[in-house]
Amino acid sequence: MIYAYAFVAIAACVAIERFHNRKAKIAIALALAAFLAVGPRFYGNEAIFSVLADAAVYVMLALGLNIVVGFAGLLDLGYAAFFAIGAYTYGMLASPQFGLHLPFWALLFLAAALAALFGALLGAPTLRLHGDYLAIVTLGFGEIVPQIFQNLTKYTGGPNGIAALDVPTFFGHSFGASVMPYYYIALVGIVLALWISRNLRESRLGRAWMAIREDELAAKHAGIDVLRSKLAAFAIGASFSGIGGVLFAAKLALVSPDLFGFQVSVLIVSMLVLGGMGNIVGVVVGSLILTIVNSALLPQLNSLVDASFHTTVDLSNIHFLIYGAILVGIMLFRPEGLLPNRERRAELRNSGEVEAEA
Amino acid sequence: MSLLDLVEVTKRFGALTAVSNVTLKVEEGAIFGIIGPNGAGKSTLFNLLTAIYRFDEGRISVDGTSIAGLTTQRIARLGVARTFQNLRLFGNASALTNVMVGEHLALHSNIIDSLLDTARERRERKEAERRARELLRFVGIAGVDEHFARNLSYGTQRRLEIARALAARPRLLLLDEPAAGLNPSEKQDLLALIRAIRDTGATVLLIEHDMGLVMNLCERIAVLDYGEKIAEGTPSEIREHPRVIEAYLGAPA
Ligand SMILES: Nc1ncnc2c1ncn2[C@@H]1O[C@H](COP(=O)(O)OP(=O)(O)O)[C@@H](O)[C@H]1O
Ligand SMILES: [Mg+2]
Repeated sequence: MIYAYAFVAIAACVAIERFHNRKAKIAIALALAAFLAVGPRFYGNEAIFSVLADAAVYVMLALGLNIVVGFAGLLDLGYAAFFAIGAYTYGMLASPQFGLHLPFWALLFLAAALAALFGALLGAPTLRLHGDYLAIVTLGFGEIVPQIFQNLTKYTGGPNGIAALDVPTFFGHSFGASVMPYYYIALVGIVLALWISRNLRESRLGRAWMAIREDELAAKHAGIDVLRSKLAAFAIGASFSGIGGVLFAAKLALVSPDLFGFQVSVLIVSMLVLGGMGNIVGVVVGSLILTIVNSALLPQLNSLVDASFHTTVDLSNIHFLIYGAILVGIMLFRPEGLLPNRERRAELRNSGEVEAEA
Repeated sequence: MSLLDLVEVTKRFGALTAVSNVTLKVEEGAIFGIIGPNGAGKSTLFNLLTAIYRFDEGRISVDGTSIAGLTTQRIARLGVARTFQNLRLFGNASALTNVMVGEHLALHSNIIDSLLDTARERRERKEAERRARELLRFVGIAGVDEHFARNLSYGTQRRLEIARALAARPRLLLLDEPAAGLNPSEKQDLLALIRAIRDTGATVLLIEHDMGLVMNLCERIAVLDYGEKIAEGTPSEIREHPRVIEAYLGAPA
């Protein structure tokens, strides 16, 4: 069952968060990686790993958005736009659409670069805005990008999108119809995303983001180039999403504008809120939980309801209700998220430790 | 050449002239005081120096470089650091991290270093951390390194903000009422600290309400009243100055 994998992954994340010993953390992380890598040889089927591969893509997206929202404190409600840009990069350049069949691996890098570029292009004029204003502009951007893809019918296939995308190859071996290559690539992607997130958090740039988030004026007085730092957050965050988009499109062998709407942006923000914004491990847990709820729990619940009551309701229509309920519940009982970092817990609970007088 | 040079600087907020035609020179290595009743325009003057506001008339230069049109961040690069009358710490970060942010301009790692945690990034982080601890010790709050800034006592926060400003290795340090809210013994410690800071080579410009402290500490003092500089001189000159006596008796702070 898929829940076995999800449960082990989440439990390992919680353990990593709870242990204070660095060696223990690393040991658990390695054990989890080994489990996820070797597990498929013993247990599971294509359907499970298809969902897990999607979950892994969402973890990457959430880690990318976490850099923008969690680290730099910029509320971006249009993050799915960069996901779309990544997916369409693959859709247009590795398909019969233009007869271009560029290699998957090259397009991973190209999509990361393009998404980063668009992140910077969006950021340059808008990052002078703060808080709500920025959220609204990014929301607009998130709406406009799929619209553009929908209306450039000549290039993008319009509302129908582009189908029959190339099946990637690895040193001449086609991925075929199996989802396993995507699962493994997404796992490697997560490892890289985690590594980069950790590096950034501990870096000069990461400290600059923290300063901007906490007090922009004081940050400027420390000589921090606020606009450039924000642009960097936007571009790096977007590049994660671009890579996720290529993986997603190649696995589905299809892109269409309705895959990247506002609900995707909301979903990713919900993952951050649920898991604990700013905290890398928390974000992973939040995105795992929501993807599993989305792709496994709800469909199963749906068939259960139908079977018990002889109905044909479509629970996917109430996804938003469920996210809404989760978010409201979290806000009421655990505003800092399930696995917050120390800073955020302190920010949202006023009961932080008090100085032992120096 | 003076380190800081203001010539006939004026700042208006609508009909209110907060800083009026102020001329001031601060020599390198000085401890220079600015006093004046509440609302005299002292903090506004600091805000002009770090480009929070733009001045309407006059000239300001730091070490010969005009700061007209420069951003706050560019002025920081000229070696100007400050503290705020109402503390502006990064409350949800540790004391150590607060000081490390202050070191931003002293570090050179770029975005690639930060992404990949290169050798340069790691070396600089280690060095920044070591220096930050040293600065916390220097301002007299060693041991609070891992505490969140906002959980520290008021006096400790004031010192932490000074440590953060010092981390930029400023040539000119602006302190806006550093003694506000401190008890007499803390004020004595602050006096010694400011002297120690000057002895490291920085020039200190400070706004202060506590007359005893200012008279004790500063070599030169300027007095503002309703945005105008009404007097400037040594502490003894200021103490005797008729307009100062009038301003302070007429509008007690
Ligand atoms: N942003 C502002 N807008 C309007 N008036 C201001 C602003 N900042 C300061 N002032 C006014 O300018 C005058 C000087 O204020 P300030 O420089 O803070 O005085 P001080 O620091 O000497 O107590 C006061 O009358 C104050 O109300
Ligand atoms: Mg003031």
